[in-house]
Amino acid sequence: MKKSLWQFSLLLIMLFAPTIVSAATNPELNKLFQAANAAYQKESYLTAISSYEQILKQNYESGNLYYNLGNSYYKSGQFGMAILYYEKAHQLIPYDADLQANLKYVTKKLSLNHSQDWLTILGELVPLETLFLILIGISSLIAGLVIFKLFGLTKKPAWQSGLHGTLLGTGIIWFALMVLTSISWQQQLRPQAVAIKAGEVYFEPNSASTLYFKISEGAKVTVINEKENWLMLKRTDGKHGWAKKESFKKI
Amino acid sequence: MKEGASTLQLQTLQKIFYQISLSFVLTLLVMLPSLAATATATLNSNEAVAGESVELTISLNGARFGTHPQLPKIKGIEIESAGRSTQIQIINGKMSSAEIYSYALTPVQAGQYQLGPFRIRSGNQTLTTNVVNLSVTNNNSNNSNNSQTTNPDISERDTEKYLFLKIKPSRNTLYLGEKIPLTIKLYVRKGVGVDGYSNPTINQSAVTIEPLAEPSETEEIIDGALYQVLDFSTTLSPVQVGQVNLGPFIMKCNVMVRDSDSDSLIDQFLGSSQKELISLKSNTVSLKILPLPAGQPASFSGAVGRFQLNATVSPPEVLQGDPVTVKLTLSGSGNLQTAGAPILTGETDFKTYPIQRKKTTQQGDEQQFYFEQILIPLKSGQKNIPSYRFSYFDPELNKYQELNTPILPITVKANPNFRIDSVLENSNSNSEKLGNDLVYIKDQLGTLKLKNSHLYQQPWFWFMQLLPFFAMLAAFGYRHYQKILAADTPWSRAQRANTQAEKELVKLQTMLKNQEYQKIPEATQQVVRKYLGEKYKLTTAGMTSEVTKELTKLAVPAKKLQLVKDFFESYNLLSFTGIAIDQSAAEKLLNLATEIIIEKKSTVATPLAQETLPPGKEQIS
Repeated sequence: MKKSLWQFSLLLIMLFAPTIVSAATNPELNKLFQAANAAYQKESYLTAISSYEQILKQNYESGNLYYNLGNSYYKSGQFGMAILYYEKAHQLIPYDADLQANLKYVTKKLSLNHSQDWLTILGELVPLETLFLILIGISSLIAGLVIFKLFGLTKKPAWQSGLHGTLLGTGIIWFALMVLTSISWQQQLRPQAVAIKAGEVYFEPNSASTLYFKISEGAKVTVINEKENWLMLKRTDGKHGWAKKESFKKI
Repeated sequence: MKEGASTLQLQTLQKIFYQISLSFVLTLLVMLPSLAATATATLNSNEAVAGESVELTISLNGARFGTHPQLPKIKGIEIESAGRSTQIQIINGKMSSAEIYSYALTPVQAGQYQLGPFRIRSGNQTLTTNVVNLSVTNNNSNNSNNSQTTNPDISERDTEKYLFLKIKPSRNTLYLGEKIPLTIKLYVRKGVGVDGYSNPTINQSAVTIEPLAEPSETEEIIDGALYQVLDFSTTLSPVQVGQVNLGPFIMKCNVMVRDSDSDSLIDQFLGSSQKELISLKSNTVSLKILPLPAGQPASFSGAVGRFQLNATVSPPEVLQGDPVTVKLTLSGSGNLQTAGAPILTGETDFKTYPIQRKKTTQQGDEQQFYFEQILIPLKSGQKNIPSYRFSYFDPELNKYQELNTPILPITVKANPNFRIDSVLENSNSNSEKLGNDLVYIKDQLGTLKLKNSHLYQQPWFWFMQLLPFFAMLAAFGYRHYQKILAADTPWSRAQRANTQAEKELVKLQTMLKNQEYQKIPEATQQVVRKYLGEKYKLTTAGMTSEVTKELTKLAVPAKKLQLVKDFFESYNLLSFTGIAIDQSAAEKLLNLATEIIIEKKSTVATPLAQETLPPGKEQIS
């Protein structure tokens, strides 16, 4: 039994290892990060941005890295880029208090309307990956209870040992989590973007068509479609139209 | 005779009484016109030099018991009350009375001043004075290092030996913002009468001077003469660099003058009959103010002196979201008026509020400045409040010093009701205007991961998701198999018999390896009997080769019947003839048993084999 547990743990480590790398094991990246922080401290924000982005170019990312990039872009006056990186950081460290405070501060500073429909709020309530992990736990629990019942591992009747009640409760939780995961999953599949500068949204993908509405720097939109240099966007109030790609960056 | 004399005396007394009464009534009648009261304001000079005093007199003629008039504040002129006196005159039998109020006016800046009209309350009456004009010019005369009086009547007289004001800073070269002691002393020669004085004042923008305390009295001997000394010592601090002339301080004194007709001031001082208001000027001192040297630390905010910094936090254990107070005590001597508070260094897990300056206390030369800062922990766990830093310039060492408090550890317990939004909202809605800016960058890279390597993009992650369901399916399948196996059907019996017999055969093989040949016939016979009994639902007790007859009825294949027959014959031979059982005999018997048990696979095409298939399975022909 003990041997099996070790083998299982080893399997998990082997599975996770390629995707998660501790900063401690990457002195080069850590050195770059500290150099960027020093530049930020000296108010050389563009130098700081350049150093932070070198880490990204090596195909690594972290919530703190995106957070610092957001700060650097804000300090250098590129508010749209600041929001973009805060949103990226939000996907990795959604419960970070500093991040929440800065995102709120910049959003307020730019007078952005960040009202969201209830489905979006629900979808962003718990990160998708956390939901999946919880689901694995709940499913395993249900499987364990079922096996327990099947093989009669309790001497008491199932109804008396509370097995049925536990199974029912766990089943309800599992169902609710499945619904929440589906909503979150749907939102994850929808690509989102941030306006890195103020832009104009047209009825058709050409500048000669009628201007529908204007979009502020830092505004978060959903990308519905793409066509050459144009993106079809949907604003939080449901309005959608075509805007030039150059004004937006995907989160 | 005696009665007549008494009557004469009585009449004389009555006459005197009437005369006195008449005189009193007449006096009152004479005085009545003078009750029409008037108020007059006069200046002893309509011209003055800035910094010098002139005397303003307000006379109430024909009025008594007027309240002491409070003169309104006049911009550019300092006003001090200099006493009250009453004057009664009878000229040609006509009596007049006046109440006189004196004021010392010290203009501090040049200009034309219109003083009055002043309103004075006298009984039920309100009297209004006339307006007086005062022309003030700047003092262009050289500052004298010697004290002198400015009273025009006595200015030329030699007073410095008897009454003078002296100032002396502890040093003549000092740094901008440095605080040094300043001695201000009034010397009064023994025997000179001084009845009241004002505090020394100065109008100088290049230095700031602490308010003067109550003077202490001492005695000093100068050139063999004894002086009473009033010490008004305080501190000064320069606010601009360069050469600064400090002084003169101006002070007003009421001096008792004995004889106004005497030319000798000594006679006047040693007399005791009359007060005279004089204004004293102190000496002037040249100060050299040095700028603070370059290389100021980032945390330097203007403090000059020598200080120590201590910090405490309370409570040491809090719930997440509850405030903790950091108390800072900055003690030492020096100038902190323009300096900022200590600053919190490093990144924290706290919501910080602006540091507050609470109070200042002084013990001797050492001052203590108290500061407080409220912090709200946002995260639970063992947290450290970073050190506070304070920098100052030490004029004695001629260099900047930096103070750092030790890190303050606190325990923050998790609070399930804590919401970070509420903390941020509270800070926004605080009536106190707080700064608002980005939270500082992170100093750790955090958990790195490959870009676009979300868990749900990994195949193993989906396998993990499905694993519980596979486990459940497997459990259901196994449970179903167990139920079928436990049923009393030919197939179930055959399965059970085979499984059991195969296990026993393994044991028999072991016995063979261990050369336990004598035990093998009996053990093998038991395995075969048990197998046949279980599989064909036969009685195992007393089973012999006769069992083949029953097996024939059950449509057991002939080959198997032959095997059973051969097995029992071999067994009988080995068990009952008494021959020695060697390895080949044991092996032969074991092989027969094995063929009987394992032979089932070759029986697929037989009717019995069809019968033994599990329910629901079709025979493939």
